[in-house]
Amino acid sequence: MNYDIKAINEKIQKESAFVDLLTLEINKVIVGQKHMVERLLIGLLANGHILLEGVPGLAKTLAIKTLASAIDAKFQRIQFTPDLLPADLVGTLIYNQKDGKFQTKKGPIFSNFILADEINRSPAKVQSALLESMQERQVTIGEETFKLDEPFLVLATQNPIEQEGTYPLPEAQVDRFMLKVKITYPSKEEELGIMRQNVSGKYAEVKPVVSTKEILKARASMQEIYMDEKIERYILDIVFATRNPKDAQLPNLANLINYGASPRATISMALASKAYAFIKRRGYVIPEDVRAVAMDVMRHRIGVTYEAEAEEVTSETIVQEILNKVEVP
Amino acid sequence: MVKRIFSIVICVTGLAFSQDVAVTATVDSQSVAIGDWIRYSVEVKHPSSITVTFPVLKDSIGSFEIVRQDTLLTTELNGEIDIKKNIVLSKYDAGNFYIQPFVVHFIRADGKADSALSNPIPVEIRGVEVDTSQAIKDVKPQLTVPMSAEEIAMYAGIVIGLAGIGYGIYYYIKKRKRSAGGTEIEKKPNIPPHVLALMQLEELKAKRLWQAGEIKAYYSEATEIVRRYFELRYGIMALEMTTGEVMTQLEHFRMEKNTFRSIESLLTGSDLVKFAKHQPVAAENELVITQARTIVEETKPAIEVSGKLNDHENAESKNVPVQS
Repeated sequence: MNYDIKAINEKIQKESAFVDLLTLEINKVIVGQKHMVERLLIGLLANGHILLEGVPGLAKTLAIKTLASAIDAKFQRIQFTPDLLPADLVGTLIYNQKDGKFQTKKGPIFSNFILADEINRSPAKVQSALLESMQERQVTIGEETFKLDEPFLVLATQNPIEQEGTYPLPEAQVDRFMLKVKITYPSKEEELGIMRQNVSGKYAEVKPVVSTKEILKARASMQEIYMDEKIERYILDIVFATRNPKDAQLPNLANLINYGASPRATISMALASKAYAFIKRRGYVIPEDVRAVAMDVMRHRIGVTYEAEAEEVTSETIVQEILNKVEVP
Repeated sequence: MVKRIFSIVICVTGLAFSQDVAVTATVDSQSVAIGDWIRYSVEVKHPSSITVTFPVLKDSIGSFEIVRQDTLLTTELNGEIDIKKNIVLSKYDAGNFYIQPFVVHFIRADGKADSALSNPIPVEIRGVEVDTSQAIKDVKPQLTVPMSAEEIAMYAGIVIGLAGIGYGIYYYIKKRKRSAGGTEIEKKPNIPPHVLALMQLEELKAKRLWQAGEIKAYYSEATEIVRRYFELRYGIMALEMTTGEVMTQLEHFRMEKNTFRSIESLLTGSDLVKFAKHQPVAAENELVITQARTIVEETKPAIEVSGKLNDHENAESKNVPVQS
């Protein structure tokens, strides 16, 4: 493929102008959580879903609600509970007594932004229904198949502190999330801002600054961002190090990794790196972009062994070690 | 007492005849304490014309356990054969029991099979007598058995043996190394990082990569040399870091602002060539080696004594790392 980097750079700089506007608008409501907001944008641009993990009260819902408001898109929050049924999510056929026919009643999944709150509280059949819609981007109700609106972004949350009465997502389903973002507590200064904002009772009004059309256009432009072969090989080196740590001069990890990252991780890392470059208003990908997204792309795609669990080694420790060891091009 | 002596001295006899075969079973005592041994003897007498099969005893006779059994003792006198067997029995239940009759099978001279058996012997097994008038006593502590001279000799032998094996292995490895003669890995001379970097930059220049159109490889090698130099010079993992990370790490070391800016310019400029298809002009390409050389020169340890870095003075030089 012939790339005119200068032209791509100019195009990206022009088309990514909305990123600053969007960030400013979100920051009117969300104090701190820069990392989460940035990852939301990556998911939005790279067309990938996000699994958020964090204790309650860290503005997960508010962030996606604000994002939806700033983009002028439809938003739905679905609280996952043990008695939730797939039909509650995707919709169902209702018998109409007037004309004696079945009528389709679409579920809340027919929105642009979905917040699947506490996804691990519902049984596998509901999780599967959601994850299938995420993958196929379409829903079948009865005999009819409906395409989901674009952009379609699912943000699922998991609470890491309560494990009783939950149905942990199987590895194959977790793999469908492009990023798994861990949300941490805000800093003292940030929390001061949060406190003041909430105590005053004055909430900033979020206005739509971007249309869904612009987002789709940005997605198309993002595909044009140049990724050099060196970067592609760097991504492969990282992913392969999770599968064959000995080949990456990391023999100490061999006993700690049960299974390595899938090819979906490679694809996600490439797309997320491009999206990150787009956010940084660059027409090409540099190793910094890969490093910035690698942890969120990989942390849920590596299975650790019992030995690792016994030694309290997490997948994050493993990813970090790999990133520290794999040579940057 | 009289009864006891009587029972011990005149052992109770179980005697049985089957025509010409006589089986006699006796015990040394008919009343023993639980777990005590009972010496049980069996004697079979028969004419030599009869073939007797003495039974093979396993681990018990009825409910009595066999503690030990002697081999058969056979004697022949005037055409009569006498077979004797001594068995030690024991029982761990208290009460009155019978030692079951001892059965011997035999074949007569005319080929007919028959059997003879002794009488059963009653035995009383007495339980432990408890004197309830006495206070309950604790279990006696374990006895410490002193180590015997044999055991001491055995342990000493093991220690000496292991020491001998250890020395043997050591001697073998030493001898092997000596016989290999000079196959030990030659240690590379400790070249200071800046000298190594400058040498490698000269080699890169001599390769004439950019002149051959391999601009990307040229920039990659140049930055790799500089990054490796930083790794050796400052102890940072520059080869595994991105440009931004390298610059953040270098902020922790004292260096001229211009040098810092020059490093940033070299690395970010090279990134553009490596990852953004930037095509620099010939003058820019030429400048890369010069720029890299200047960076190395400006960041090398200030004092050098007879080819080796003077650590003490080096620590006081301007390039010493300081924690930010």
